[in-house]
Amino acid sequence: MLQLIREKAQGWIAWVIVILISVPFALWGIQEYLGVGSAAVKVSVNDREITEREFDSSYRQFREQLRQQLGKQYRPELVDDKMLRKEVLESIINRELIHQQGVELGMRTSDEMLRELIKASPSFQVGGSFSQAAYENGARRQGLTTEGYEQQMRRLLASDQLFRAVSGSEIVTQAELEQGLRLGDQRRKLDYLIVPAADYVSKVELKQEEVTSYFNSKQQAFMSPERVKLEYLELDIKNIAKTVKVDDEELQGYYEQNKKNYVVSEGRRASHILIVVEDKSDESALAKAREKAESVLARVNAGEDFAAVAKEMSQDPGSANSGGDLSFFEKGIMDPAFEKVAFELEKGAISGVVESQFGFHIIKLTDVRPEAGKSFEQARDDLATAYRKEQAGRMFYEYAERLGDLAYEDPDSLEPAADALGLKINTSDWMGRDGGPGVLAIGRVITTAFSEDVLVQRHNSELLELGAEQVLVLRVVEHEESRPQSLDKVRGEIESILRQRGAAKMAEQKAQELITSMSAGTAVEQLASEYGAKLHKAGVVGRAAKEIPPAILDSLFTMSRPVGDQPVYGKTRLGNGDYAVLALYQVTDGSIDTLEESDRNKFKQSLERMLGQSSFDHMISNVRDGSEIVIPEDAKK
Amino acid sequence: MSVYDTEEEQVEALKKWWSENGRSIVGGVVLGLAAVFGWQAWEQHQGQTAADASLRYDKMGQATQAGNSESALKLGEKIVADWPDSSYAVLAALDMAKIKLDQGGHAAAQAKYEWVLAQPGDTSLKQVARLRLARVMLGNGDLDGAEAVVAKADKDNFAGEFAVIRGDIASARKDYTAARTAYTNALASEVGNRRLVQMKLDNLVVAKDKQQ
Repeated sequence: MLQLIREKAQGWIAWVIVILISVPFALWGIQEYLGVGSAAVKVSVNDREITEREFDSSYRQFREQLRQQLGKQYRPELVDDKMLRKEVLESIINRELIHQQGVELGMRTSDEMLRELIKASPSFQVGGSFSQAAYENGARRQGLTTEGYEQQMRRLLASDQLFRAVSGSEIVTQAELEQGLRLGDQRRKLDYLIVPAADYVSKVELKQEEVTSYFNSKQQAFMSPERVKLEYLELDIKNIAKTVKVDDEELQGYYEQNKKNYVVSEGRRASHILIVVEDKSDESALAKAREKAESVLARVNAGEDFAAVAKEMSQDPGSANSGGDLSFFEKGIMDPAFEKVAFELEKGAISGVVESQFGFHIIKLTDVRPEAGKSFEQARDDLATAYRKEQAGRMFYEYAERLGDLAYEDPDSLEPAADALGLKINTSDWMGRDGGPGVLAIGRVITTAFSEDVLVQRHNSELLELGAEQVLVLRVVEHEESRPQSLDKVRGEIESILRQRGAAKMAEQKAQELITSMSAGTAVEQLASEYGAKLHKAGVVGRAAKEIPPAILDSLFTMSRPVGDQPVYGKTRLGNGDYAVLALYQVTDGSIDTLEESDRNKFKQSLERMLGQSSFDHMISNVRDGSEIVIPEDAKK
Repeated sequence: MSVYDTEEEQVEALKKWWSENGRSIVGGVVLGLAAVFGWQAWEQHQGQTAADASLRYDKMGQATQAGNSESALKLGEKIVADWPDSSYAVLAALDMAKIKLDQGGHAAAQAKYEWVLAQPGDTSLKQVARLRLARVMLGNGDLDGAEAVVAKADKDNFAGEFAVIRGDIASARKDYTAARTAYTNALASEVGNRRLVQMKLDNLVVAKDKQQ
């Protein structure tokens, strides 16, 4: 056998074998370069596979956008994740279909347009002009090379071009414009009155069989709601604060540290006159300044008004104009020499010449504010509260973590956690999916209470962070399934429903009677007053009239057009079972002539946009119908 | 099959084999390379052609945006003349039809749409052209013409829009029953201006009474 191979190995068969072997070697690993990895596929649209990673990144982008749009109103728990994922998937598929249609139509992006767009993008500009470095940076931030970025932009631009082409060329003919206005801007003149169902509730006679048969046919509607009783531990700073122990020594220390919160120290108010000395080493200048200060002092002591002299002579620009007033100051703020004198003077007294680092002052003490506030004993209660709160704030995160751990370690009871942390176990009343009072009204608390792990497994919940410094752990102690209720329990409810229904029927009959009389020629006003209802003289209204109930408006605009002077009457049921009786007197079609040229154009453009968008959508729907879109089983989460 | 005894013999044999087959192998390789490069060059040429048309089309759009209808029309005609088989020609024709219509040129607009319908090409784009053609005819009072155009429409996602036109035609002919059916059908599918279609349907109540 081997001999045979050796013999044959030199013939043409050898070549064939060598070639066959070399092919896999040559192509080995090529998929790495072509990017045909084995990444998880989210969806494939025709031949193009969109990976989970691409999807996730789009999903994150979308969520981020949503967050920015909603701003403060954004509440993650309100966003239905499943719906959102579905929506994002749809939009990705759509984007891909648009792209493929563009390729199918042979659409391309020209280099010029691409260049123009990139150059015009503000994020690639430095100081108002395009910067290659900023461009490369920007692309990198998106995880792309410039080539990759350009590739992406080409796709986007081609899709955008297709959209603009199909939707932008949308037309609205003159006839359509006129008709749109004729109908859309139509106005109708009416009166209406309301026949309230409530007037008839007491006149409805109920038979017991009716109640029973209604109960039997609608049992599903009379189920008691599923409900639970909870135990929960709530941890916030207030709770922890209660457990903090305080002793006098610590409080005293705390008082000293925070004295400024409790005591306002002595303050003094002074005015001064300053003679500035620029350079203290200049003897002659110093002497000159002292002389000047002495002369000023003499003037003040001679009885001249201090403020007036300050205004004239003081070289302190900050105070001279206000008569030298420096307002209140405490110890430790002024120049030491100045302070020493200021705190020795009696109120109203004037100092001698005082030398400070700035020069020479003459100081007048104008006011004294004695030390005020609470002594340690007086502040004791406040101190204790503040101290507890501060300590509690420090301990909160540690406690919260311990609470979470303890509740997890012993999933069948909250007691260990309560004991260890000195917390009280709260017990709730029965609570349905609409929540309970206080913290039990919070959406996350309710969802958690009815979650599989908590409701079925009866485990402690995880630690729920309700606010910045508020956490909660809960467990279900009792659970009651939704179940049918007995007839006696819901009899009242059913009777009320049936009464409402009967009353509505009677109101309808009454409305019909009124219409019959009106059609027979009785004046609307007369009927209304006989019946005792208020006649609403609504007058001429358009389709968007806000002052008319929507149900009446809807009915009004589907009523027949009156012929001549003969009004058209109609009735319609309102949401609460009341009936409205309408008298339509006149229909005025909208007219293009009533519109300004600019409004006419605006109206035309808005119609074009709407129709253009739908032309494009129809086209993409067509593409979709002709496409194979596959979502792998394991990607359907 | 021969078995070679020495290396020299093997070399000899190889040389001989080469002199016999070398020419065809070289020829084959050259031909293969030529095909590959030729294909690439052709693709590039195609791409360049499309890119040129695309650029011209964008310029046309810019001219329209700027309100410069005449130069937009000129650019459009040039696209149709230079790249008659490309989609850009069809798109340019749709744009030109709009410009013409807005200038009051019904017949010219119709001609553009008819040209699109005569081209081979994407069915959706044709549906768009057909829809607009029928609406222009309808606006002109050419009910029979519009009806004939609508009758040729494909049954696809544009069906709702065509149903609206059928309703409009029937309504103009005072055939309110047919109009009602058509509008109701339209509302059962996707239509662009749903609210207006509902109004048209509601308005038929009025029209019906008027007829009596």
